[in-house]
Amino acid sequence: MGDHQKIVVMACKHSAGEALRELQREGWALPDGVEWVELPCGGSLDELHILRAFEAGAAAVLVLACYHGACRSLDGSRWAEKRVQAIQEMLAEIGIEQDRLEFRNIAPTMPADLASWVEALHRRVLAPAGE
Amino acid sequence: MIVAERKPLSEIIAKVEGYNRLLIVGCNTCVAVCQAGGEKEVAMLAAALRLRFRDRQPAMEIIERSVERQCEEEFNQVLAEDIAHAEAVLSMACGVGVQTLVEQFPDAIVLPAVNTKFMGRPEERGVWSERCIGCGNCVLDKFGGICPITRCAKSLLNGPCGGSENGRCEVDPENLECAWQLIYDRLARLGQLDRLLEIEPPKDWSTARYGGPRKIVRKDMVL
Amino acid sequence: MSQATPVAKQVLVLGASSEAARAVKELLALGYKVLWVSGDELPSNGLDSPALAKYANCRLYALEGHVGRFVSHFLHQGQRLALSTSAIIVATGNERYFPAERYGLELSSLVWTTSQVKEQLKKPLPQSVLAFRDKRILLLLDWSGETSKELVSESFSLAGELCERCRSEVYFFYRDLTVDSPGWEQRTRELRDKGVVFCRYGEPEVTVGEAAVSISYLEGTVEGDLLVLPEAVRPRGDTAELAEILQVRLGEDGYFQELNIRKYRAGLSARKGIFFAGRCHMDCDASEAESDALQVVAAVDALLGQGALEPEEVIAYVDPSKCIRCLTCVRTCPHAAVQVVEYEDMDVVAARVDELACWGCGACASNCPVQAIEMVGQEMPAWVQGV
Ligand code: SF4
Ligand code: SF4
Ligand code: SF4
Ligand code: SF4
Repeated sequence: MGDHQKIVVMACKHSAGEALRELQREGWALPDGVEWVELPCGGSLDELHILRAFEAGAAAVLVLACYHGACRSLDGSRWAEKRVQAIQEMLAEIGIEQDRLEFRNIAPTMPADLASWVEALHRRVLAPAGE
Repeated sequence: MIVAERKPLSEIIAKVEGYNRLLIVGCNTCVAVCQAGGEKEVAMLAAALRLRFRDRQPAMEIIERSVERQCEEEFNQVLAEDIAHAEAVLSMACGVGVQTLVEQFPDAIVLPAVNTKFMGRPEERGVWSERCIGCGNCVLDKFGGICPITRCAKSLLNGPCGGSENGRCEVDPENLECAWQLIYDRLARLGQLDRLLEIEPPKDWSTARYGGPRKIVRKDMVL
Repeated sequence: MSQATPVAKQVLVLGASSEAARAVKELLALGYKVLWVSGDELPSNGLDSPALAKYANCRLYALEGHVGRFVSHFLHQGQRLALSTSAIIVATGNERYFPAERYGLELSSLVWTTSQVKEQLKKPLPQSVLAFRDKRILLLLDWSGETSKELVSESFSLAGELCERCRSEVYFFYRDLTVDSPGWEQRTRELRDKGVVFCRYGEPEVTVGEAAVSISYLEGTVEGDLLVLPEAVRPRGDTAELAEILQVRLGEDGYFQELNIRKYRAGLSARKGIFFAGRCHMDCDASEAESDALQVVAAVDALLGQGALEPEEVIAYVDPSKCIRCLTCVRTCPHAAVQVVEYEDMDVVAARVDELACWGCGACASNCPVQAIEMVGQEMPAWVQGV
């Protein structure tokens, strides 16, 4: 499948962004090949951008938004989840495994979860190719 | 407006598989408003197809365009060069737009990418529903402004069938309101229930599709 | 582009509740000009100031503009009234009713509501007191449902007053008195000292006889002269209409829905410049409602205190020449910051984002079918434009 050497994380700045900064303060860094795209809100997640991330060589895309009900703009994280589902359906028809696109709810207080999700995804989709 | 829906990707993929140079043309009017075939949908479809064929040799070349109204030749003129270059054109306009391209560019292979559904309106964000089938002789005034031809599953003109229950239509109770319930309620609201006593004679369907394809000629507009 | 826009320190307060009055008083103290408007009569509680204009019996029928430049249109005694303010505090309170169906009991000479008791106690002496003198009064809370905080609190006050002023014998029946509100535990202790008997029940049986009422519960039967039931509260009848005009949301419970988010202050509606105070958006007693009003005024002051507003770092911008007026963004924006308008200078009709009202969430941009909306100030990698 060519050289799909990166993971794109599309992340709401209010939750995932805060969690990342917490991790960075503790000295954690995003693994090589992880591209972090910070969104103003889950609601700004654009279906087209997800497809373009794959086009740009992403082996997987991880979408992170607030818990439903905690979104600063009411519906943002619910939109994000819906759009991920719609694109997963498209991916199935295109012939890309659906698990290459993941959605997770996150809170600013969950830096440890963030690190483990990113690392697990990294192991799953990038590590074998990199060896 | 005209409401449409993108065809399943797998169907589109099967249609375009054999081509190497594809032009996708959207329409930024009706089908854009109903999120089926505007500029954004063109970009989405193009991205999806490029991903689908990304490992193919030679790579599939995809050109993305959108026009103001694809049912008007003047708006499509800008497409001439791209159409000449492409092996096939995937139109995301309604069936009218597709056929306009066909008439205007008789040598082009034009494929529909959306299913044209109906004339309707958005009831709320993301929900569109049918309101008029274009019968050619509007009788809305007789039915409290609610079209029994379109909204009654059986196009009944003299009251409901026996399948009207709690305001829902027996054909699909979950999704369909009984048009006759709506008509009754509206007439009651207007104090015009006596209108229902009038017998509606059989409709002359010759003004509708059943009289063959229709055409309007406005004498003062043609020489 | 992010230049500060000067705004007037002028606020509209909607509603005649005690929290509305509290907000008005606090705003005046902070030097704001206040327009106090209600659909009902306004209380005459000595709040008079050259900076305060009061309008009673007004109906809001339209709201134009956005934060910093709201224009509220009212009907006032058959006249139209347009009021310009920078922010709006909604403090319309809630509505009381007697849930006869839920209780399965009718009001009678033996069954009163807390409000009826309250009214009676307000009457002149000796009438007021004699009605309850030496009587045994059964106050029944949480009967088939939970009693609102507001009415629990009022029932406390009534119990105390009945004991002290009327020498009544008060039995306070409850199922789950959540004493989580500040001061409640203290209040129950004081009431006990005054002689109020607290009875906790599981499944009580309530009997209304010819001349007496009785409640049977786990520990026995208590007979009394009067059964007092708290009323219930619900959103005011005009809440939904008001929400539609103000373009703010209602929660599932029918009250106004505030943004309840870490690091943002209470009472924030999803729409910039519109705030909810007190019982129109939460279950609380009168004193909590008033402290909520104070917090809301602090939030208003945080917004307007500088006399100028600045847009967020990231905001949406519509290219009017691309927009096809499909209204998707208008229907999508959770903050009611976009409208389809005529651009006077350009002679086009297109969507326009109010740059002060926009929260920069991007929901409009990601939904636009012709990609006419750009998130100004938002950095995105080059590949989102296509490879
Ligand atoms: S081709 Fe014409 S009728 Fe069809 S969607 Fe476009 S504008 Fe509407
Ligand atoms: S009566 Fe005919 S023209 Fe009128 S709404 Fe119904 S289908 Fe359309
Ligand atoms: S979504 Fe786009 S096209 Fe539709 S009204 Fe808004 S800006 Fe215009
Ligand atoms: S970014 Fe768009 S959707 Fe979000 S607040 Fe601004 S105008 Fe509304």
